[in-house]
Amino acid sequence: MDRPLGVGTPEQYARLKSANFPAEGGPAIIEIEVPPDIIAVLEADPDSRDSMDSGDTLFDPRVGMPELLAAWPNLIKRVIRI
Amino acid sequence: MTTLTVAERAMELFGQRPTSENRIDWLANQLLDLAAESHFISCRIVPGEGEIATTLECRDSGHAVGLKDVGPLRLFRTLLARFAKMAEEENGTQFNPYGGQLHFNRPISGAPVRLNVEFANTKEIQYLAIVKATRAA
Repeated sequence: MDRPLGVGTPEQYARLKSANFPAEGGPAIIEIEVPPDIIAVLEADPDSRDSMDSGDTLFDPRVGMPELLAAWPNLIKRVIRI
Repeated sequence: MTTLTVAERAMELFGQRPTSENRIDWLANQLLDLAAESHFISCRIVPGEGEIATTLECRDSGHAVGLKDVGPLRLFRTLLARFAKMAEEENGTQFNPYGGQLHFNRPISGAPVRLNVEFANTKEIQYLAIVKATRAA
């Protein structure tokens, strides 16, 4: 997504998360292509939009997660090992 | 007229939406300013259990207030990560969104003030404490 990375990059999260779990195979990123209609659900929620404006895209059971789970089998996904 | 405690003022900040700037940056800077004025603020997520809802709790040196509104609860982890990134941007502190010790210098009444920040941002614990330290060098 073309959003500012005000809370760090995916690579930074992957490396630091991996450091917290050293027995789990090393850092990796799962990249998913989220359809615009699901992003629109997040953008319609002020708190989700504010988080996205800082670079943090949050799906939770109240906003976006049901739609993401329903679409999950058909989403394009890519695992990036770093 | 009722005077709000510092803890109540901190909690109120979570519900505000500035129109002209990034809300998370605004909130982080407002909390730093409030801590500079009052010496100490802490906020944490208190996990719910059974019938008890998850709560955002803010404290000052003598008071604690809680809020069950889901909006601020959802923003809190983004806010913690943003503090880590702001410290990297402002003074080169190594970025770690999962926790650590940070510092910020802010001018208060014309004099620089150092604010020490300690936070944890993991699945198990989400916590933020801001303490006014000495004058910045």
